[in-house]
Amino acid sequence: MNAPGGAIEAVEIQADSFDFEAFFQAHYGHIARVIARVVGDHGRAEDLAAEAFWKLWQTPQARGESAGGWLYRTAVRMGLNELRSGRRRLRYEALTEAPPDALTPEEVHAAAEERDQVRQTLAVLRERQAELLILRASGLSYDELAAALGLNRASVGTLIARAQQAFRKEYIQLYGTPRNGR
Amino acid sequence: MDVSRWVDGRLSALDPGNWRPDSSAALARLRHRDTSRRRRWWLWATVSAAALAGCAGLLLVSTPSACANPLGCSQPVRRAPVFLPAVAVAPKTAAPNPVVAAPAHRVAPARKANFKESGSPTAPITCELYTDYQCPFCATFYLETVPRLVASYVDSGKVRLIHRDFPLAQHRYARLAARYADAAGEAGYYQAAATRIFRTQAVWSGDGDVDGQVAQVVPPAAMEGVRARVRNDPAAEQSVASDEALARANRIDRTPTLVCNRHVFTGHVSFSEIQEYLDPLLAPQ
Repeated sequence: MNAPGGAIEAVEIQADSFDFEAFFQAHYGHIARVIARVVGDHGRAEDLAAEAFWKLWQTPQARGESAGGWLYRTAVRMGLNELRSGRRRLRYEALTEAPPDALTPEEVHAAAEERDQVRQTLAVLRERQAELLILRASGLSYDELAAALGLNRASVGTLIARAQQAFRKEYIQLYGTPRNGR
Repeated sequence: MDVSRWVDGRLSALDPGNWRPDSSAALARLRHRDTSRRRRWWLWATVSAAALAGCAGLLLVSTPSACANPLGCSQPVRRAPVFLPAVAVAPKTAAPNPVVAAPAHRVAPARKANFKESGSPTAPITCELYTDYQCPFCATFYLETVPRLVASYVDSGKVRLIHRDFPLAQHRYARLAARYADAAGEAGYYQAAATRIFRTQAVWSGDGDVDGQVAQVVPPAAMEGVRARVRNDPAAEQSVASDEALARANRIDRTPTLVCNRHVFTGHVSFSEIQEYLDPLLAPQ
C-alpha cells in the first residue's frame, strides 16, 4: 500500500497565501494514482486529476486548510463517476500496465479479470463506502479519511468495517465465493 | 475469515504499481487551460462591452434629450448628423447671439399667402420662423419678439414672415399642438390659436389638453371643424410634415430658429439683434 506520507496534514495552507503550484506539485502524483486505482487507465486518470485540480482552482473557498481533504474527496468521486458511467477504458490498461516478466499469460489474464471484478464491485457499492475503501487502500490514515470525507474520527473504523463487509457481500453476490477461500 | 485482510487483498490488485504521473506536463496543460480561459473571458468581456456600448449608443440616439439648452430646444440626435454652418459669433456690440451663415437656404416655392404667412408676398426679405409649441423658448420668442417684428417690418411690407412647425421628438404634445394650430388656421383662427397655445404652454404640456385651450379662442361651431380636421384631415398632418421636411433640408436642429434670407438666428434672439441684421439690408443702396 502506498502511504501518502501524511498528505492531508501537510496541507496547512491559508486561503490567502495559497501556493497553487507548490500544492499541485506536492499532490498531483498521489491524486492521479488514487484515480488510476478506480478507472484503470493512466491517461484518463491524469486527465481527471488535472480536472480535480482545475476545480480546486475554480473554487476559492476550497483553498485553505481543508484543500487536501477537498481534493481527495473530489478526486475519488470523479473516479467513481467515471467508473459508473461505463467509460472505463480497460483496453488501454493492458497497454499502460506492462505485466511483470515472471507472470504467465494466464496469470496476467487472471489479474486483469480480478481488477475488473473489484472495480465492478466498487461501482455497485454505496458511494460513501466505495470512497472509504479506495482512500483507505490508497494509504490515507483514519484522521485523513475523516477530514477528506467529513466523518467523525471515532466512527471511521466502524464505517470501514461496514464498507468491507458490504464489499465482500457484493463481490460474492456478483462473482461467487473465491476459490481457496481467497 | 478476516474480512479486512480479504478486502485489502482484493483492493491491492488495483495498485498502479510503479507508475509515476508526470506532474510537470499536467501543470503545463493546466496553465494553458487557464490562459485559454482568460483569453476567452477577455474576448467575452470585450464583445460584451462593445455590445453594451452599442446598446447605450442606440438608447442615447433614440431617447429624446432634455430641453435644457439655454439657446433653445435641440432636436435629439436621431437624424443624420446635423451640420449647422460654423457659428460665427459676431462682436457683442453688433450681435451677441449666434448668427449663423446658412448655406443656400431653401425657401418653399412662392405660393399664395396662407394663414401661416404674414406680410407682403413681394417683400424684399423673407423670414421663416421654426417653432415647437412645447418649447419654452419658442413661446417667449413668439409672444415677445415676433409682435415687434411684425409691427416694425411685416406690417410695413418689408418682411414676409412664415411660421413653420418643427415639433421636436422630446416634446410629447408638440405635434398635436401644431395640428390644432394648423386646423384652427384653416378655420381662420391661426394667430389666435397659436398665441393661445404658446401662452398656455405650461397648462397643456402636462396633460396634452390642447383642445381645451384652442376652444377658448375658437367659436364652438368652428371648433367642431377644427377637431374634425385634427382627427381626420390628412392635410393637418401634411402641413406639419412639410414644414419639418423643410427644416431638415435646411439642417435646422433646434427651436426657435429664425431664418432671414441666408442668415440663421437660433435660440433666444433679441429683437435688436434682428434689427441689426435687417436694417442694413433694407437701407437704400
